[in-house]
Amino acid sequence: MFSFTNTTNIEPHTSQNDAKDHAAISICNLNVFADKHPILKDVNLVIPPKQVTCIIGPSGCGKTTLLRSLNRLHDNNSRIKVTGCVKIGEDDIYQSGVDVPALRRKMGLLAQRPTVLPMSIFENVAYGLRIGGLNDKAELKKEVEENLKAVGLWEEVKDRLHNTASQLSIGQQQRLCLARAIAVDPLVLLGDEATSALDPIASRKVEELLVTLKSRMSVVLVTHTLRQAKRIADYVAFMYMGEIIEFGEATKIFTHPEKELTNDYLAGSFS
Amino acid sequence: MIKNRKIILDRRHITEQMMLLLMRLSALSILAILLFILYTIANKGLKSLSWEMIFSLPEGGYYLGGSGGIANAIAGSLIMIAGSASIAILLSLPIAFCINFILKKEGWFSGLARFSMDILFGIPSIVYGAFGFLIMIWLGLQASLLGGIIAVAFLILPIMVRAIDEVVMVVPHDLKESLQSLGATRYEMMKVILRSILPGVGSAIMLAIGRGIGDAATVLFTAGYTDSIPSNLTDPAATLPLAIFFQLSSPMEEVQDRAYAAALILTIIVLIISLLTRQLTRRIK
Repeated sequence: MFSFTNTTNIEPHTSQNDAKDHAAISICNLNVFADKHPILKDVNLVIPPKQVTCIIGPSGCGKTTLLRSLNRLHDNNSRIKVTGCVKIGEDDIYQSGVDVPALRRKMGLLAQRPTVLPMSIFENVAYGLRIGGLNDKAELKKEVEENLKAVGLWEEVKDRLHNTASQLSIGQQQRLCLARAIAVDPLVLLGDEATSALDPIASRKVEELLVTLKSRMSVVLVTHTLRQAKRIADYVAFMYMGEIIEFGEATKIFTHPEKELTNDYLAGSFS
Repeated sequence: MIKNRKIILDRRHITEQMMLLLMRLSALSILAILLFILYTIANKGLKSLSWEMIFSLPEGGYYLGGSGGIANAIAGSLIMIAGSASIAILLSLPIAFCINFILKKEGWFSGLARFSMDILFGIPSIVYGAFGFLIMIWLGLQASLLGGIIAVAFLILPIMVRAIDEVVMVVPHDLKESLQSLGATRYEMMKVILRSILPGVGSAIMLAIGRGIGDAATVLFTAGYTDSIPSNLTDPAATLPLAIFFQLSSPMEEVQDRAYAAALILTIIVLIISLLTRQLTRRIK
């Protein structure tokens, strides 16, 4: 048995040592406070590498707060205090002296609403590469093309790469944001309800892309849609009132949840 | 019961209509004031406006109805506002970005910085003139172009900072986070954000230039007045607001009309700078 939370014992798909050795992210005793009010309470979790992990739970349970803790986006808010540790491999991202911009490059983010940069389609994908030090024009062109192809956007935009990105449809913008995020080759891709602003067709496209991306990186997705989690998740973490109630393989959680609270949530007793 | 409800609904409808009418009238009144000012200036000034007035220097007795023009004041105003605006832009962008991206959002220092800007914003321009005059005395300077540039820069800096601050504050939070998530440093983030807010920054600069180029009190003691175009920073410089002031003070109607022509020139200069700024910021964006 391997402990993922302070309250629940859940059997992971690998042994404890194996999971830790290959863990994309290990979270231990993570607490997040907003003005001393606890939002996350003693979260312990090992998110397996190169899998799609969905974080589910009712509104206000702390899903997004947990996700934002993983790339230190709470640093921007002086009212929020984070304690505990989040390790990528053996390195604690909350240790003093961590190069936060470099850390964030490892943890790509796909936000709820697509936010294109105020520049061309080409520059949107090239931006992360440029600030990472890639300035060779031919190399940049190749990278942009590859990443736009990876998200299935190349054929739609190849003739207007230098048009403003905001001219694209919302679905295309979200795929562009995905191309931009994966262009810098992160270890983990974080998605915060990344399909909630999209229509069903665009949403399905992004879902399929996230699944294909797990061969390259770990995907951690906050979702409010249980059906989406069922379709794409390899692992599921169920949260309630700032705590991880249950974590495990998606098939097991959706068919035989151990906790009554998880069962009630999946049955739609509350949302 | 039903009758009471009808009375309430009627009352709500009447209130709605009255408020809409009031708002329309208010909007119209501001337009009317603008048109009235433009009409008065154009009506009185157009008859005195000539190429000679724009391109000639004043000759002896110009302010008593003699021949010549106000090229000295036009050049002085343009040079002075170019200098002041350059100083203000160089200072206001880092200040606005520092308040928004470096200092803690709800911290005491950013609050104090904004409060200071608000106070400076409200200080009358004559105070800036007097302050500039004192600094010049300390530095051993006489009324000069440099003195005017510094005093006007003091005057327009808080206007520019507060206007840019307002623009930066409404930058979508998602844009900042998208940039941070790509590993952008704060400086890299600011560069992209500056690009996205360029039209707003252009408007802020215009607002400040409009205020600075038209202010007489600041330059009265600091820049002085002269009938020639300044050839270096220590020369005194004529400005359009003072040219208007001196001509309008004349008892001669012909000279007073020239004051309105000078006001028209000042308005056209502000309009041209405004259009150029807008075009430039759009093109850069």
